[in-house]
Amino acid sequence: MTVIDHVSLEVAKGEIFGIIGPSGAGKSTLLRCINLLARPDSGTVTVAGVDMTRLGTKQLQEERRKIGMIFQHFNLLSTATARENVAFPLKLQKLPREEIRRRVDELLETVGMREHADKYPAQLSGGQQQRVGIARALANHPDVLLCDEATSALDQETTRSVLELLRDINRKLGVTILLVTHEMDVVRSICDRVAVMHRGRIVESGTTPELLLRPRHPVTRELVRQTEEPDERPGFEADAGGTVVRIFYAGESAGEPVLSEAVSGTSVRFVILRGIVSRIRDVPYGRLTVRLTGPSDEVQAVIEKLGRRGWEVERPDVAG
Amino acid sequence: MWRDEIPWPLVWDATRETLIMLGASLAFAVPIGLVIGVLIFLTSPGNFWQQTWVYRLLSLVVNVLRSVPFVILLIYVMPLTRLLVGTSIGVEGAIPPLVIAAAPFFARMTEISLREVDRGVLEAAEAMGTPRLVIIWRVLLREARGGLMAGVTMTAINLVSYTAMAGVIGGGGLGDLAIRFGYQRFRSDVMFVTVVLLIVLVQLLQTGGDRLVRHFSRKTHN
Repeated sequence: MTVIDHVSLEVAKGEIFGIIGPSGAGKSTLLRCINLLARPDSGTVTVAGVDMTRLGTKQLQEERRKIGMIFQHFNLLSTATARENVAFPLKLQKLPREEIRRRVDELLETVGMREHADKYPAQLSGGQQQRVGIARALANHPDVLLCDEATSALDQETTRSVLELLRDINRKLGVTILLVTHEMDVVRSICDRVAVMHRGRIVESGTTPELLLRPRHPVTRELVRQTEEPDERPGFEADAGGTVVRIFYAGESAGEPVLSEAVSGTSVRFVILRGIVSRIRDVPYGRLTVRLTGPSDEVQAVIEKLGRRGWEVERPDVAG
Repeated sequence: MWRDEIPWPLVWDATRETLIMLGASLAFAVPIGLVIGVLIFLTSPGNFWQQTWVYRLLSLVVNVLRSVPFVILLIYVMPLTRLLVGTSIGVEGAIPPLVIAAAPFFARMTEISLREVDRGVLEAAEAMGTPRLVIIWRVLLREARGGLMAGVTMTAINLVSYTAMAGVIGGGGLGDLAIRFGYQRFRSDVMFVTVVLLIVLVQLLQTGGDRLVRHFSRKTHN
């Protein structure tokens, strides 16, 4: 059975890269191809210059130690304490006891779990278990951290705190993070770049603002629509006369009085009916539904002026 | 009914025989069953060492051995018993058939408890670059040890009832005493005492086993 096909992906050192898609798209399989938990039938996987697909068992085990991984269901040893779980990968390296103890303390400190060191997973909340999972994944100073739906089993608040921790780790330790998720909010809050998967293929990829602000593929549009939900039902604005337009802008012009400049000197007046003004990563943007009233030639001129400033204007009622 | 004194020396001898048969057969059946159970699990479809034919063969052997009633097995394996311990009678002669009966049972119990282990934990260990033998020992068997202890308990309790049949080959034990005195000589007082002792033994095994299961599972919810 072919789960993923014709996938080509390059992730730069030190970035946070997201892979998003509906469930069953092959995201998790793609992630597992990186540390070869799933072996691709053809193609190559290169991590930090090493072609993973050509390695023998022993070498593969060595390379895997440099790739941390965290999971949706945390996958901690239920019969071991937090401390023992974090110590597990270190014991594999046959480090001296004292050094293991020191490193485990340090890791638990990093993830804020020092005081829970001697608890078993069943005694910890989901967020706490994931923190232990992160500490375990970081034990061998990995270059890369793979996150498989790492926040999907967590509530919103816990998700936010775990994502913050991941971003901290990325910044402070320079660990490249590859994360798989079905939630656009996760991508929006921490990913630098993102690829959208659908039916085993990557259908679209780009920087997070690019992709979220100008989604091209229908799957991407759907994913974006789920998080940013402007009410699309036709409402009062249709009957009130004037011209209703939808405006989209992003980037520096978001901080400028573009709209009022466009109407100044004309008799056109505008009302903002609905909208969202926000930023994605560092890019400010806005999506507004605006009613313009005035002589139609002047309205047309205003729309053209907005266009010249790089603002996109759609006229749902006349464009037809 | 109570015509004579209960022959206490005989009762204690029988208890000792039962305990020896139980202990010795458990000591062999558990490691043998564990190895077979682990092999069945690992060679089963979708696992580490997927080997469909090995899996089917082992599974068949286990099923066949578990289907044979113990009394019949006891007699069937006599030549093998003689080869292994030099005699096919007495307490010694009872041990090989007891092992042959209990090991497959424990193998199945092992397989079941290994299946209960969260596959995600195995995957996590693999992702950390853990060699397979280490995964088997430090993850698979470790995570399953609660279930394994429950399996040992059930195997031991099964063995108690198997030892009752060891009398057929002069193996002695409490069950044998109950049959010879209680049934054949109408000594229901002796029967009563042996049955009580067997109940106490099973109770002790179960309680001790449960305690070990709790200790090893360590999935305490606060």
